This record gives sequence, C-alpha cells and structure tokens, in this order.
Amino acid sequence: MGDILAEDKKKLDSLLKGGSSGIEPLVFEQSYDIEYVMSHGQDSPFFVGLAFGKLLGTRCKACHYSYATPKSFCVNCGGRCSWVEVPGSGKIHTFTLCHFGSEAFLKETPYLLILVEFEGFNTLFLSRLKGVDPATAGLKLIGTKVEAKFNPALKDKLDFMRKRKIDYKRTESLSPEEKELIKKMEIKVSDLWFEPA
Amino acid sequence: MGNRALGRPVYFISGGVSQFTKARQDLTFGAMVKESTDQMVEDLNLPCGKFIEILRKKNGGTKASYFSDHYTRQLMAGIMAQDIQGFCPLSSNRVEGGGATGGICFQEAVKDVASGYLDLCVAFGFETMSHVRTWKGNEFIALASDTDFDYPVGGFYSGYYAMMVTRHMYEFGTTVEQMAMVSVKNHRNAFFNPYAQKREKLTIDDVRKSEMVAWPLTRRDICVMSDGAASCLVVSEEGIEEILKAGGNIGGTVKIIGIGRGTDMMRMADRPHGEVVLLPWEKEDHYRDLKYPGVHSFRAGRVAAREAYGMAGITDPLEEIDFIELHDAYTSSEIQTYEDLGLCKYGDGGRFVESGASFLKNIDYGFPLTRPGKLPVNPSGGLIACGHPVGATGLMQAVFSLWQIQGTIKKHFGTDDLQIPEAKTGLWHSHAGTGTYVTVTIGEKV
Ligand SMILES: [Zn+2]
Repeated sequence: MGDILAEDKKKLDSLLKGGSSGIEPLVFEQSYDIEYVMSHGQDSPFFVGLAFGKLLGTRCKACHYSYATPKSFCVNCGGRCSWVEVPGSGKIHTFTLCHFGSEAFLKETPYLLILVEFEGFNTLFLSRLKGVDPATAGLKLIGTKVEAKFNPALKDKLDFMRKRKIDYKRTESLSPEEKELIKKMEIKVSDLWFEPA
Repeated sequence: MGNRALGRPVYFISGGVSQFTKARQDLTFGAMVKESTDQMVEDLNLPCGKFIEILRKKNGGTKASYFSDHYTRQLMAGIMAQDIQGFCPLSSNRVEGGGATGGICFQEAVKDVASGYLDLCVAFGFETMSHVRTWKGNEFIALASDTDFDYPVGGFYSGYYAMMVTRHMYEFGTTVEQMAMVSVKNHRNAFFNPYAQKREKLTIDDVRKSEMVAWPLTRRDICVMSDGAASCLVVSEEGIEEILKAGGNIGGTVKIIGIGRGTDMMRMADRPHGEVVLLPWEKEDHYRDLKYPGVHSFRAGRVAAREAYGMAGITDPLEEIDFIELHDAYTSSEIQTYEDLGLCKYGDGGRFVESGASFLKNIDYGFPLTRPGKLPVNPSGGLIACGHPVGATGLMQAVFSLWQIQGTIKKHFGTDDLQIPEAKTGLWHSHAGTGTYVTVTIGEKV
C-alpha cells in the first residue's frame, strides 16, 4: 500500500471524527454492451414482405378495421387480423425535420420523418421521407403524394428468395435453411422509405 | 361510464422535493430520495425516527416511482431506495409508466389508502438521467417507443411530438409563436422557484432562435433531462390522527377529490380517427368534422380528465379550479393538454395561451395579455423549466400543488410571487410518451 499523504490523513481523521470528509464524489465510467436475440414473432410476414418490395398491413376479419402498420389482433374488437397488401403510394399526414435524434441516428441528421396515410386504410405508417431538400420542408408537405421505396441492398436476397418461390405470406412454409437466410438478411423497417411520387 | 369513487376519504398532507439539477454526483439515487423524504417529514415537524415509528405502528407503506433501469444500471433500485429511508420491512412496490410514472405512483398511493389497506403511504420517486450522455439518454427514452416499427427509422421523442404538433398546426392553425409563449411563461415562472433547473427570462424570439431539434420544436420548447427526487405523504383520517398524536404539525390538508387515468396505443400510426370523447358540457356538433384523436390530441388525457372531473363533480374547470400543474415536456403538449382538460375546445389551445388565461396575473412576461390569470397553468415553471427526472416528475408536480393549496409557497420558495391567492382547488396531470398513459388528480383544501 502507498504512503498516506499528510493531507489525506487529515481528511481521513476528520471523517472518522464525524466531521466533513472533504472527499469529492468519486465519479467513474462504465460501459454496458448487450447482444439481444430478438424475434418479430407474429409480425414477421411484414418484414419478409419488405424483401419482396411489398408493404403488408392487416385487416380485422370480424370488423374489417384496417391497419397500415400491421396488428395481428384488432384493437377495436380483439378479433384476428389477416394480412393484406397496402398500396405502394399514399399521402403525407404529418412530418418533422429532425436536426437531432437518438445517439444511433445522429450521423444521419438532418432527416425527415413522416406519417403516411393510405386510401382504404384506417391507420397510418411511420417512415423516412427522402428525395426532398430538408431546407424546403414546411407545412405544405402535408397532403403530398409519396411512394414506397425499398432498399436496393435487399435485392440479391430477394432474387434468391423469388427463385426459391417462398410465399412471403406464409412463413410457416419456410424450410429451416430459408428461415436462416431471412434471419441473416436483418430486414428492418428502415429498409423501406418514401419519396415524392 | 359509471361514476367512480374512492372507498374512503384520502388526504395529501406533506411533500418534499430534492432540487432538480443536471447531475447529482454528491448523492446516489437512494440518498437523493432521502433528501426529499427528510423534507417531507421535517414539514410535519416530526423527527424521522418518530415518523418511521408511526408508519410501522399504523399500517404504513410506500410506492417507489422510477422509469428506467437503464439509467440506474441497477435492477431493484426501488428496494434500495426503500431501505435507505428506513422503510423496510413495510409494504411497497415499484410503479412504472413512462413519463406518467410519478402521477400513476401518486394515484396508487391514494388507492391503497382509499381501500383501507394502508393508513399512511409514502409515494417516492427519482431518476438519475445524468448517468449517460444526452443523446444516449434520448436513445433510452426512444426505446420507450415501438422498437420494431418506430425507433429503427430514427424515431425519438422530440420527433414524435413534433409530428403531433405539426398536424395540430395544420388542423387548427396553431402557431410556433403560441408555443413559444408557453416556454416564456414557464421559464419566467420558474425564475421564482428555487427548485427549478432553468430560471430564465426569455422572449418569444429567444425561444424561436434557439437551436432547432425537430421542426417546429426548438431546444427551448423541450424540457431537459435531470437528476432529482420527490416524495408525497398520502394518509387516511386515522393517519392524520396518529401524526397529531405523535406531536406532528400539518401545514395544511388537501383532500383528494378526483382521480382519473387513460391510455392510448404506443404507435402514433395506430391512433384512430373517430369521434371526440366528450366532456359532460360539450356537444357532438362542436366537433362535427374533427377526426379524433388523430395524432394531434391525447385521447388518454381526455379520458383521464373525464374520469377525474366525474369523481370530483366538476362541470366548469375554468371556474372551479384555481391552478393546474401539467406535464409540459413540450410547449406543444401544454397547448394540446389545455384542450384535453376541456379548458377550451379542441383546436383553441393556441388562442387560449395567447389570451393569457394560463399566465400568472402578477408577473410581467414582456408582452400584453388580454385576460391574464384566469386559470394559471404551471405556476411552478413546469417540466420545461423545473426539469424532468422522469420518476420524480409527477410527484414533484403534486408537491408544488400541495404547497399552492396550503398557501406555503413563500415558506418553501422564499418568495410569494408564485403563490396563487386563496388557491382552494388544484389539478395535477402526468403524461407518458405521446399520451400513452395520462393521469389527472384533483385536490381540494380542507
Ligand atoms: Zn376488429
């Protein structure tokens, strides 16, 4: 052990006698990394659909309420929903221009976020708007016609999957090998965005 | 909807707030809570040993309010805060509901007392947001949105609220200047609140010219992250008797006359376009063409208000309520909440702030107001100026409300600039991410 400096000894004595310690709070850094094993579960067909250039939503079998962002169970009546195709184009319902974001997205700023409304669907879809100069963004964007664009990086996997005739609406029919492939594709909702039509 | 009731009378008699600040490195979260519970007990003029004795003898218990395990990097933080207060082995549980955590916690304490399970319940809350840097903190909060559909496209809370108010602007003509007025008001009020983190005299121009975060919200339209703690003591009649018997002193008793709570779907994209949830004095034809709640309104806030007004028997909030402390995480959400609480019709929130109704009569904000002080909102400075240590926030609002009704603002703030004369009835409101959980609580002077 190192020698106790006179100054430190004084602090320690004061501390033990119930006086003020004069010790500054000890601040330290610590990191925390986690690899999660996640599943899209019952929403998986939506993500597989993206690889096929399709936007999939759902519709309640009982009350026919329709969801542009899929819900497997109807929030109105609790009924089961079935998968349906959402049109590839819609209108901007609202937007914002993000100059900041979560840490993971700071490098992508500024970016535009929009909620899209679709003909015949009761709910909206959150996405990025690209192909618009952020400097021109304003309330007039609301109502603008936009169309879905899919990440070209998915194309190789998509061609492969097409050749294998995978039915994207029926994930239970996939072989273990095909499931593994889809897992490797890391399909994210951000592989889809919208641009002015 | 049937009328709801509390099983037996419930009273709110004391509270404490540990100063909200950017970082409390001198205290751990449990000790921060201790700072607020000590103040709560001192206000009863009791030594803390005596207070703990009462809790143990007379069906005492607690509720722990904190939002994120990520910030503390400590699971079971609630029990650690419990034991540092000397509250073990009393009944307790954690409460969590995003930004509304504190408001929900307060109501759970009320329910435990109303049911007869507890005679005294300490609702304590905290958050230590300084443990991570600002944009990592934003990421943690963003994880309180749908992580499959919303977060991965770059969704974060300022962005979500910005989209909500953009639609409000489109739908109703609300302006960025009206939003800025909320920021000026709340920062100016906080100037007289020593507990507040940001005590500033601002102009509308200062708000608009500060850094843009997510259009149309600037840095000064948005609350800041904080470290902080707050505690509330909720009791039955028997609890009051026990405190008085032990030689305690109560600085003013507030009876809880109404509680209400609502919820809505996590994803904004899922919010329906249907009919307005009406308050008893509203008519359907007020809103013939309004698609509700859409993303411009908080249905959960309206449902919570309707429940709480129903229980309290309030039919005209502008006349029957003396002040409101509401969850202004964004200037825009203060305006949207005026409408949910029925202070004005949906769509009139911008004009409501412009009229000055939600300002304090006696304070100079630097611009003229036509009817200042009709119903002051966030006299404390709200979240925008006081800070938003999530688990503590809703309880902090309750404590400031208690002090208003007790008439003890001068005692606690050192000045009576923010004291609303003869405040008798107050409403406090707590709200989680984009209006997913909202609570409304109403208290009345005894
Ligand atoms: Zn249905």
